[in-house]
Amino acid sequence: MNATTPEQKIALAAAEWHFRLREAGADPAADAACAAWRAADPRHEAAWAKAERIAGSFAGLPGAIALPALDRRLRPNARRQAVKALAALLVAAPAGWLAWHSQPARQLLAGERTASGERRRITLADGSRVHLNSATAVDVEFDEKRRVLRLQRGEIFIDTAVDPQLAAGLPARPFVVETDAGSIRALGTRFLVRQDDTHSRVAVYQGAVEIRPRRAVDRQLRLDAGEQASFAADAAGPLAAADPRAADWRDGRLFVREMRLADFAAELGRHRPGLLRCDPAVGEQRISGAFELADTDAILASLPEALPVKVVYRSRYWVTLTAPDA
Amino acid sequence: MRHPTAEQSLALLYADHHGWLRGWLQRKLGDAADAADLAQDTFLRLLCAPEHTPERQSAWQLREARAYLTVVAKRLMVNLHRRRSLEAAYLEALAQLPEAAAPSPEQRLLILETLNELDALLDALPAKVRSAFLLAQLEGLGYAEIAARLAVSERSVKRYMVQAMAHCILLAP
Repeated sequence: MNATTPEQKIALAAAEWHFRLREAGADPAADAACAAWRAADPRHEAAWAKAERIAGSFAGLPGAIALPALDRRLRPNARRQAVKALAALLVAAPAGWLAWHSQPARQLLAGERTASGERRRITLADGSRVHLNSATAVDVEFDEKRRVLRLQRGEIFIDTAVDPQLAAGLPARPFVVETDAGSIRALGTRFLVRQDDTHSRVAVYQGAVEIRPRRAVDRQLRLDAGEQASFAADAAGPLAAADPRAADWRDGRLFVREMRLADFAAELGRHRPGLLRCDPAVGEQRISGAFELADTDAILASLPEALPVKVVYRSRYWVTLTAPDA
Repeated sequence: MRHPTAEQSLALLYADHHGWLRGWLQRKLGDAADAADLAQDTFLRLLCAPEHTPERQSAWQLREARAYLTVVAKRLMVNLHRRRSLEAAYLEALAQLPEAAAPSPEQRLLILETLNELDALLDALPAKVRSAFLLAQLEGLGYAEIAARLAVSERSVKRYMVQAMAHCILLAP
């Protein structure tokens, strides 16, 4: 942008200061220089305040909603989809409202969330990287003593970073994932945590972790690279070999071998909005293959070619796998 | 009356052209209710125009009244479309959320209002600038990651950030 008017020059300078201070982190010299610039002219201060206010507006928005809404230019068919989505919303809304009312409002704003079918990678303040699988909710709670991720539901893959506090001469803070079932302490590592209704499942790909069931803290279990285990609030184990394909969803792929169709439907259901049911009459059939999660409709459409099943659409959001007509 | 006041000439403008403007809008929009709303909004804009608006200073003695009215009406149409497409994308995003994460009706409205304000600020920005800015503000992504996603250099991302924020500062009330 070529700044021509004084207003434009001030806006550009304010924007530059805004980002310079963010990049610098704690830098007293930069803080002082910025303060001097702001004090030099009331218009500087006004432009600075606007930048802070705008950044604050963004910070108050839930990313899972705001990004697709504001960046819709990248998704030209969003409008067409919305007609269908609106219909679904009208049906689904009351239950969602009730569920929401029972939770404190800040949860929506504090945590990281993905919608059904959405997968995302985030970088935490310490540089650790976290992949969020579909329909996942995780709260990030970092303080001076601990780095804690609270997995509310869904699945995350974590690649921990060395605590930057070490470089500052402070002791490294432990990195802990907490689930309903208990806690998982990372010992410098890459690992996967998935929360099901009653169990948490952990698979370690590098380094090691230590599991502590919530109500049986003496039943600690150490997992090294290549191992996986499930645990509940009162028990952990047994150890098994980690499934090397379990984290393939990070690349948008689901890989299964001889999986029960009922389990496959449950797995696929996590990656799309609405209901995906499997009739017990076909639930014991086995399925193998690699599937692209970006298009779950295409996966469903291909099922009858591989297995004797029929895919029944009650609506876009209500699908059942049944036996084919006799 | 040789020198009517601004209010008097606005009343005349309204009497002469309101019906025509509504018809024109209806042909454009294909919707009678939207057309009636926007026709009304067009005259409301004129009524609320800032003092320094040249047309207001000349007491709304417009040479090409209908051309002027359509310019204002077109701007309102663009706004209406922008808001509708934002609302559609917003509903779509809401529908994709797991139920428990869905905001309450009051929050939905607050979020939509905030989105609409920000959307209006971001409206004129080039797509890549807008995307880069949103990824930083909403996802907290670093410049390197944004650069990789948008296939541009980190230096460009940095420039986009400043450009987008400066743009918002200039437009923000």
